[in-house]
Amino acid sequence: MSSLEKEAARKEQESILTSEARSFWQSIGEQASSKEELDQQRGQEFFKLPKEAQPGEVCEDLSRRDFFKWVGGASALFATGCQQRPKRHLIPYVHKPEGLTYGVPVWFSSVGPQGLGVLIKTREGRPIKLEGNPDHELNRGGLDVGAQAEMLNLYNPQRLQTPIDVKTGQRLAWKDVAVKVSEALQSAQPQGVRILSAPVASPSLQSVIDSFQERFKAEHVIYSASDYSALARAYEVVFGETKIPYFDFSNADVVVSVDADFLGTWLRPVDFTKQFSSRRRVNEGDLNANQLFCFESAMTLTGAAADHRFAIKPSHQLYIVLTLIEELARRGLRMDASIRETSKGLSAKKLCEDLNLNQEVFEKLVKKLISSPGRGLVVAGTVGPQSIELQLAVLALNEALGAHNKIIRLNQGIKTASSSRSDFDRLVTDALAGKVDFLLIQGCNPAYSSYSGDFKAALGKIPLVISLAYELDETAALSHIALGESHFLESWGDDESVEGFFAIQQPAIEPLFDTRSFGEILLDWTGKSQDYRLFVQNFWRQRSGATNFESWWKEKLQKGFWKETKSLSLKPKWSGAAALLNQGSLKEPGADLELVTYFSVAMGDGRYANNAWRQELPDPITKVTWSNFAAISSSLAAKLNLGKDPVIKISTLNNQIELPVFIQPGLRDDVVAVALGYGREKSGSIGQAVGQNAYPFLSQSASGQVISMGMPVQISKTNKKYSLASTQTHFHLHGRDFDILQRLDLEEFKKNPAAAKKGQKIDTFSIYNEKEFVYPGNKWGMAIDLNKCTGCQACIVACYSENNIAVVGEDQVRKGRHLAWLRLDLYYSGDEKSPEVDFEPMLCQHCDNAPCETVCPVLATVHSHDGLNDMSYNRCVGTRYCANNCPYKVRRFNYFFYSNRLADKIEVTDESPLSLMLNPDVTVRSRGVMEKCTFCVQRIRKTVADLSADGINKVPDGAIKTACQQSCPADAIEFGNLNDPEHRVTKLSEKSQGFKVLEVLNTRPSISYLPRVRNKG
Amino acid sequence: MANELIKEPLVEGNKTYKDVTDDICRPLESFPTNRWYIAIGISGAIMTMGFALIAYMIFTGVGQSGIRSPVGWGMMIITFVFWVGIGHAGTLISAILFLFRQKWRTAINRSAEAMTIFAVICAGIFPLIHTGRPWYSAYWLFPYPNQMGPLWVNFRSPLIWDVFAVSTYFTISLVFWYTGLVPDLATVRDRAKNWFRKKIYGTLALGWRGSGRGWSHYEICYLILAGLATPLVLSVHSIVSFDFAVSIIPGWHTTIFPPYFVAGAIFSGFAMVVTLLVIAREVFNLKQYITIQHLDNMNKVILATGMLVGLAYATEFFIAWYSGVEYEKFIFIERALGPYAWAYWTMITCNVISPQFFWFRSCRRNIVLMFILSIFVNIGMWFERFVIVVTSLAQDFLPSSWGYFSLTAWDYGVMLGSFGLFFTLFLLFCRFLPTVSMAEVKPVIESSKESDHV
Repeated sequence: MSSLEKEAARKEQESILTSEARSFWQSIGEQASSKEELDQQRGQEFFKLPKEAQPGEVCEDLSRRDFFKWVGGASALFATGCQQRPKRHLIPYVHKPEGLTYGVPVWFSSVGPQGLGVLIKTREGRPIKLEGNPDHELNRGGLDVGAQAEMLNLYNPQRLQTPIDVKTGQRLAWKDVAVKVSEALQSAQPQGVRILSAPVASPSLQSVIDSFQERFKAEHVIYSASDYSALARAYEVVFGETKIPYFDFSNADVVVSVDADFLGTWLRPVDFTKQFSSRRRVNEGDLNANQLFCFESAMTLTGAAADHRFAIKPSHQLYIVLTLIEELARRGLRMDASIRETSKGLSAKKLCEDLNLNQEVFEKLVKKLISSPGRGLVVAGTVGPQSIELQLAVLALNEALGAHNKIIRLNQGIKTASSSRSDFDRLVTDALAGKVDFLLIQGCNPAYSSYSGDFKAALGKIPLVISLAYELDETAALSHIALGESHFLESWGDDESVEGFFAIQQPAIEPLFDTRSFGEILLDWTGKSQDYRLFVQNFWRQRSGATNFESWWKEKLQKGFWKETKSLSLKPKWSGAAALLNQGSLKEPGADLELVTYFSVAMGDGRYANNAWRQELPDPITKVTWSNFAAISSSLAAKLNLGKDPVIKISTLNNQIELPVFIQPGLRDDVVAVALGYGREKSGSIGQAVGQNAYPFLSQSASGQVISMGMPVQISKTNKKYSLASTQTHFHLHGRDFDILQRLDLEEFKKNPAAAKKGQKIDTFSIYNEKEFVYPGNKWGMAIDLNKCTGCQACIVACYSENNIAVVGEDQVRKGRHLAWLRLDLYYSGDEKSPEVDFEPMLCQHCDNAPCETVCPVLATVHSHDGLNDMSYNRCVGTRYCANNCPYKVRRFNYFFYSNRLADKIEVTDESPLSLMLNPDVTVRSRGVMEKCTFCVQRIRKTVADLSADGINKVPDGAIKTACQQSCPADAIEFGNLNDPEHRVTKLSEKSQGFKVLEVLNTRPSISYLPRVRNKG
Repeated sequence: MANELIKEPLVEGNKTYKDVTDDICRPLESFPTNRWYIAIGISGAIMTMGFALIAYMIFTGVGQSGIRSPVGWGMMIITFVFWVGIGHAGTLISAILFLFRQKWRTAINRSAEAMTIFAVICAGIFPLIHTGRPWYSAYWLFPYPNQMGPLWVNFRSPLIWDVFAVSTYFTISLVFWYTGLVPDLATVRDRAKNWFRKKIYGTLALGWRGSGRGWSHYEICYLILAGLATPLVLSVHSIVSFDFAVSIIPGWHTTIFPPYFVAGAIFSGFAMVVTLLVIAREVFNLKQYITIQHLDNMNKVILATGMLVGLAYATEFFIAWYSGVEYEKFIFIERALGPYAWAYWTMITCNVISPQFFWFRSCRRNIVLMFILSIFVNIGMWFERFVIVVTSLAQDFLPSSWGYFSLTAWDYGVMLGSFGLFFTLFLLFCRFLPTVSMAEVKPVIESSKESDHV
């Protein structure tokens, strides 16, 4: 009401008052109101609402409601407007891609490094997880550490992001590079153009290289840090074809490995683990288990899986195989006479005396091989001191055992392993002689991993060196132009890592940076500027000859794998072999201290040293992270009188390094084992200056094979100290086998599967009414077969990738603060010189009587209706009481803000590509909260929700796979509903030999373990 | 009966009432000595350092401490239990000895109670800062009405029992102490020479007039509070021990913990009282009130509780063997012979061997010796908690997860800082409040026995 109106109303009132002698009023309002208003109001039960401002009306007099609106609005503005929040962008799709729904993952099939078939999980257009492709017949769903860690390689902000001029560090444009290159190529002298690359497994890429070679008269040299050429050479000598055959361990009853870590790093460990563990299904009732005899210098995963392991040193390899030949031949195995000649005079007795081996077990091995015709296999390492001779002897042995074509597939050569050091050496000599004008390097880092310094000098003599590299590594830093290489998840391609096994490499994301793939740049430089996808498609259009190519292509992309088998029959010719074997006649075993270098499971050849997941992944045997070390026996350490955390110097005439010592059971006293792949000088902030480079110790045999084992070295004590960052420091069970890790021999097992329990019985009872704690619907549980697990640790990296686990860095690992939700405990038993090794995956046991749940003061960890031990990060205040009270010690705590910094070295901001890697279904944990394995609850909830949307309440077996289970190449993990008797996990859990860890505590874990059964007989 | 046992007078020097009032009020009414300034300067600086370190930790992360997997609790829980234990002597002296009519307590109960309160303040800091997110644990550990469900605390968790036990303990102790202070505050008020002082002490004295009616109510109230405080002497440390006893960790999961912890608490508390009083009677000239007889009595309690603690140590070993539990056996052998043997034997030397000197009267009355031994006992009791907390966690069930715990510089700094806080508070107390209960001492001085005053 305006003041004018008021005034008018007042006047009116006065006139009414004066007109009537007396007026009676009941309230102030009535008295103040005009007669009309009163009349209006009379007879109405409710008063009308106060007047509101009409649209367009100037509101001079603020109504009560408006007043409150203003007050409310102003205080809301005041309260919110003063807070500065970080600016974030949510950009919706203008045109939403077909088939994409927010929050629903899209899967693509592709093929990863080493030709491992993968399925790529993408969310909102970004790949977040790799899983093994179960349809791919090589890895059959399994993946290894390297493949799982590829996700971090993709999103690593320290990748080489653009072409750069190395000297000035200036960014270059691709077209300028192309101009420079074409000038150089035009002006190059004949034979002056060279390509140095990693082994090529892609048929389409090979065709591009071929046409490039043809166009520019270029020579293509293949280089790889690992060397299998001795194996290829042996097959060339005997069968006339240079190839590395494929091994099928699932057909072998007796496997003998001589320094070939086929379960860890040798050739194709994922495939081999899959095949090998398929023969260790004792706990599932298949008693026809294989048997593994392992002779090895270092302690590897293969030695850990062995039923019988012999500690040797590299110079013994040939001696052992020749003795085996002799013993077998003596027992009637048909052996070529010329080969037999070499082994004359040897005997098991002499060998075992010379090398201090267990003769009884050796005799057993001989007997086993004799009694399993066509079912025995011998594999041997390719980098020993006499690798050619060794491989020839092994080949002869395998031929005599009847392994060829049954176990060893000659028609399926492994392409990823082909490389030739003699070609590489020729390149270096030519370059030094000024014969090379142009060198393109891709996928290899010889400046770091070649043992002679010549390569670096050679690079200086070449007018134009171009590196296509993942990062500005040692080699790229010495070249003129460094080009960023696209990741396999960013580029098209195809794969034939093993002959006849094909897959299309399908990208899942546009290149994150200004990078290109090897094929793309070669295609461009050859002048056929074409989209690489179209090129690959056209390549297969021609090659497949399919009438309906579109559907052919779609089918291959969907399945991610196809096979073309061709048969190949080759006849052995022994003349060449005998000549070579006689030349390299057996040397007397010396007393030298020998150096064994090896590729560690975590670091490989060192090219991905800048991958924080790999650095923080413990070495599977020693559990050491973030460094390499010198593994020596305890008696050698005692001889050197080493103190605590010692550092020793390993030296030869030309080279020396200082490394911290790890006391390794199962090593001979005259062996020092050192992992390669460390000591990178030019890498990112994570990979640089971690450990020491052992490549310079390597040498080369006369026929061009790399020798990375058995180099005579000296070691000496230093005064330095170095505390290794380990995730496990105690490896003895202290007699707690029954409670923690049960194991038994196959013979015992056959009589009574539960023999490991030895009549020990645990009476558990509850003072509560048991019926109160039933799980009416699903009850999730896991079964882990210790007999299958080889300890490869792919599960750990899979877990990091799936669950956004932060990397804490070396110093924090040293303080026991690493965050792995799943760890692989290792325990030694028996004699220290020849110990038995057992792995035990340890993760949250999701106990029904969880000790962590009762002690949390704020109910941050509680039990779910389906048997999960849930963790609510938001509620956690971080008293760490739950972790203290967890007998399995699987709870990990965020002592600092680990998720903000990768390994305390790379800032993880919103803008960083590292943020794109995160799985949006899993909370990123903040500082001060506890975390632990959730049984991949996000997968459980999604599957159950998807099924129930389709009206299915019963979860079929195998519908939910945890990340660790999916990745496991040994199929050691089963997961499912314990309430469903049809689920495999239920059947396994109910086996009489199954046990729970620390059952005595009555925590009632949801994880059952099946014992390790050794086939010793 | 008590008087028969104590032959010597409770207050020496044939004091009159006026002497008592003058002597005890002197530190409050005179300008502080240089010694006091130096002392508070040092302790204040240490306290400030402690708080600065805590602030640094709150900004960066609780990882500043030496805690690691598998040893999730370290210095902070150890020191928490240590300080809670220290507090027990005060309550025992003021409440239990009051109920038992032990008149010798009158000279020392005030400072012992003050010590209790300051010790509980020191203790209270640690459970808060040891959490990963102190800004939440500051109030999430209390069952308050909320909009989160409502989400309550977990009443099954011993940490929640702790919250109640310690906060109740602090409240009761504070009220009890303050009630005892009221007549003395009135005395100080009455003696005040300036307006400001009169107002402050007048407010604190809550209008005490010293009327017969007032005294009558006061005595009843004091008796009731003593009755309320008495069970707390037993309950608080029992509940603190449940943090360990209720868990399943070998070496923690034992039924002996409640009595063992209470005995240990009284043991360490008395040692701390002796440490403080030896200094206080020296610095504030209270030798005639806190006589050698008082110290002798307290040393006897130290001897007795020390033997109880020793018995508990032995019993633990016996039960570990007798139970047949491998994990239990292992952890006790490791305590004595394993990586933390140095801590274990420090504990045994300080807690079991050192109090044995107090069998001898001459030792009980030797100021220097008792001062050294009382500090030994406190060191030993800190190590007792170290041994319990760390060794059990460091080597529990799965050998794969074992790890060695060591303290960081931050740990040492904050632990020292808590002592800084304690001594700062105690020095302020000595400066601003009567350190001896005048109202209670007056009835026990020799002159009062002849007069009509009671």
